[in-house]
Amino acid sequence: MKSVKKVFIPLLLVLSLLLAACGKPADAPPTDNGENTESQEPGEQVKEETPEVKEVVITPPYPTSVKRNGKTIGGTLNVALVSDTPFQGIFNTFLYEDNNDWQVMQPMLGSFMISGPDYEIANGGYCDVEFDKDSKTATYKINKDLTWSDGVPVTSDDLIFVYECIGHPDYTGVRYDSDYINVVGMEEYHNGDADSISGLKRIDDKTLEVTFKEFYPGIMWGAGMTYNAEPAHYLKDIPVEDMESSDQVRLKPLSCGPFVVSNIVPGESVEYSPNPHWFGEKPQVDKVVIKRTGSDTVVEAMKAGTFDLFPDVNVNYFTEFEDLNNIDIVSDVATVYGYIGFKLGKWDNALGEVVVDPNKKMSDVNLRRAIAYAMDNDQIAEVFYNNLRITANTLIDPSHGKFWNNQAPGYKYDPEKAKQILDEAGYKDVDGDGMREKPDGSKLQINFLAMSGGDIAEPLSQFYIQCWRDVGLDVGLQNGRLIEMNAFYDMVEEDNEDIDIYMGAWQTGSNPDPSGFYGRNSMFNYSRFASDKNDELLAAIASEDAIGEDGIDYDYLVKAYHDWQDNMVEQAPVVPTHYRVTLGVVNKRVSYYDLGLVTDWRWEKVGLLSDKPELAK
Amino acid sequence: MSRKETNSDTMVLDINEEELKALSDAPTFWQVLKKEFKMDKLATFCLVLLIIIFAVIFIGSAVLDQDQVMRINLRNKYLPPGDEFILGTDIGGRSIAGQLFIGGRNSLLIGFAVTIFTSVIGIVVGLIVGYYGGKVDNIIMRICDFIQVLPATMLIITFVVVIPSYTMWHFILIMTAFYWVGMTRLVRSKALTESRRDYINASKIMGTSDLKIMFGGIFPNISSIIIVDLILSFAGNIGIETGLSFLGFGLPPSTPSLGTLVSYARTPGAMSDKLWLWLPASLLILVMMLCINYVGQAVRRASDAKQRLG
Repeated sequence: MKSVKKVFIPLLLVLSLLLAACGKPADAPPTDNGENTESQEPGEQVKEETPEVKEVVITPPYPTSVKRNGKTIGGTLNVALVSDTPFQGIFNTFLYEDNNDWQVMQPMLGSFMISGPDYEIANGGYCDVEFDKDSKTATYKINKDLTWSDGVPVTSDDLIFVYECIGHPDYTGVRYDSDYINVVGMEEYHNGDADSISGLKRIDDKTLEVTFKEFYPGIMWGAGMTYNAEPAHYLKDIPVEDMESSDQVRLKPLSCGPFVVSNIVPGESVEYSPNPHWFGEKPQVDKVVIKRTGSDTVVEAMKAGTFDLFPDVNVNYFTEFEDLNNIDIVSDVATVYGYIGFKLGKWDNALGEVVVDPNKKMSDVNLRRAIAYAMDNDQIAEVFYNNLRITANTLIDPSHGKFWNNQAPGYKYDPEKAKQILDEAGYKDVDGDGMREKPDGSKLQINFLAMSGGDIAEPLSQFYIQCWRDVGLDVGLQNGRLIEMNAFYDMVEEDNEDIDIYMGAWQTGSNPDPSGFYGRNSMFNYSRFASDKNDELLAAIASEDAIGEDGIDYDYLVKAYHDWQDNMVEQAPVVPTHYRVTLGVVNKRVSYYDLGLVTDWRWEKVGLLSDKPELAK
Repeated sequence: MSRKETNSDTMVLDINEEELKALSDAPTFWQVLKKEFKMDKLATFCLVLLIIIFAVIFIGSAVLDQDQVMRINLRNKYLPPGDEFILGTDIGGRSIAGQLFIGGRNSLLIGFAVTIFTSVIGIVVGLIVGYYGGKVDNIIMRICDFIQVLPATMLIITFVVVIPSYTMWHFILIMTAFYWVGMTRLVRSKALTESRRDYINASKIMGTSDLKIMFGGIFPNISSIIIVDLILSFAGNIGIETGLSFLGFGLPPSTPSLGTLVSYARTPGAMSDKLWLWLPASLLILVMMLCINYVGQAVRRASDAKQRLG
């Protein structure tokens, strides 16, 4: 026995190190897996939007860009990718599935297409797009000089290739969805009834016309559009199901951007060198190296100048950077919001729609409102997140400033009002235990499902519970513990019977249309809320009416968005908690970097002013 | 046994039986133990320290209200040690000192409960197996072998994750389920040799019941070795609990534990800048482990004549 213990304790230490190493990154942003990939694709970077009406002012705490004058010297730009697990390394825009891969791919993707101030597809990238409402088409126009890094020109075939792979019966990725089905002929091709997609018309080498069945505003935000081309000549001989594991995707991807992959250590690092066949200006640096590092060491590494750029700083350890004098901090409002959801029904797989169950504990809108009023989100933002998260009022994030209703009252912390609502709705403490009972006198025990991850998760969930208990609601953690992220989303997706309240987050991506998260036919409508009015309001957002003679009718669309937000605030099936801010840290030897979206910054413009990184003093 | 008078008319020696007994009596285990502690000042010091720590932890945690200690107060986030909070606060503004008391008590209780449960199972099973031997021995020891090859820590983690609404008692039972095997093996090996001794055979011939032989005959004779193992596995079990809590698979959140306190060291920056978060708990664990081990070693020496100092 004794000897067993002696062996055991060092073993335990080793184990703890191992497990610590494969733990989640501190506060893995609780974005849903599947959704994550989808929404990451286009407007990854976020623009700044200061609303005109100063009801709630959203200003990122730091500037969005840094620029230093001086002569650049080439050299190697070291970029940190914080992940406690190796990244997957799928260098393909229609196959990759997580944010790490997306981050790693950035230098080679460049800016094939760019987004306008409202995240709509804009001209000015390597490929322009023209929309035509009457003929229900979008026309891609690829820059005539654009070539792959092996010298072969980028053609319309490379775009057709993307559509054909996504629509291929063997395609296992997450991107074949209703937006792609909206392309004429996609469904037939997917079912094997056609050899090609009839809606894709190759006009010439550099021009491709896509015809849609329905032409709705979302298309101008990238619904059913591809934001990147993939080299058809290089990948077409690989069966779709094997593509993900092929060397062409994993080790030797082609690029049409400023940089091309020159070396990959799978899961650990990627080395980029300038693309010799690129048509644009020569990149300022000789090399870009993106290297994975752990969340516990990245602060020290930035101090020591090991990395020049850390574009995705987690808010949990951000404060460690604040006092460093060898770095600049950049920030912007993100397309992410956190929320508290109430389970109101079930997902019916056969019908493919949400079925609302009026007998759920949370079905009473007054109870939901009271719960929303009882949450002290301001204090959480201030103390836990150092004001790097912003108390949210509606379900549209402020990065889509045009559509965000900054005047919606939302649910400001007001425990007295919460108590009043509960009193009026008949939730009273009958048996004198300090906790309220249901109007019919039976006990009201509310289960709260929360995700683990990071040091904040536990005190955060306890704080919410405390808030609710203070107004007399008997809320407890479901199963008495926090749930690991994947298990959490499994439980939420399967409509686990015991869930009453859950806490999640959505990354909205470029397309602000909320029907993907709240529509009756959306799997991701986790609260399982649906009503005729909601259907109607969502339909108005996705209506063809929003597209006027010359582009989008913003008056109409903004009103549609505001109406929907107001209704969601009123019904409160999901109550937003915080909007997020993206943060980046840049060493002072970097000449130019911008986290924002509306910017001239490109990967080829980032340069180094000195061959030695600045060190923290 | 009654004594038989062999020679009735021989002269009766004047023997004081009491005196004789006292002269020939081997010192009891407790006497040896006392002597051992007298010889080993460090062990005595450790014993006293341990008693003080236990007393302070149990009294302190009895006075404190767990709900009050674990109440989150964001305004007090990461306060360094000061007047209001002697040992500072954690990320939720909760007193580290309060958590240390309650966490210490929880860790001790778990260590203690697991040790008792595993020992009871271990002693009963071990004695039965050791006494009967043969087929019983074979079957039960194969079961033990099986449990021993399982990666216990991993399985405990799995169980902790799977069981809905688990509490401290669930945790104790899960740990017990995996750690009774060691004690069983130890008791079995001792009982095996013991049960071949003459006095056991004599007892058997006299028709003493098996149970009585096991617990009245064998058990007292191997008890010293059991006590040693109890003490040392107590330290080990506290270690397992804190280790699992450190990894986040121990006690439920919002139940303070020493392991949880130590794991605050993993917060970026805490290792060097926020010593108060994790140092007190780490020191407490260190001191307790060392003390228990020194005491345990003194006891072990007492139980083994070859190692005795006194």
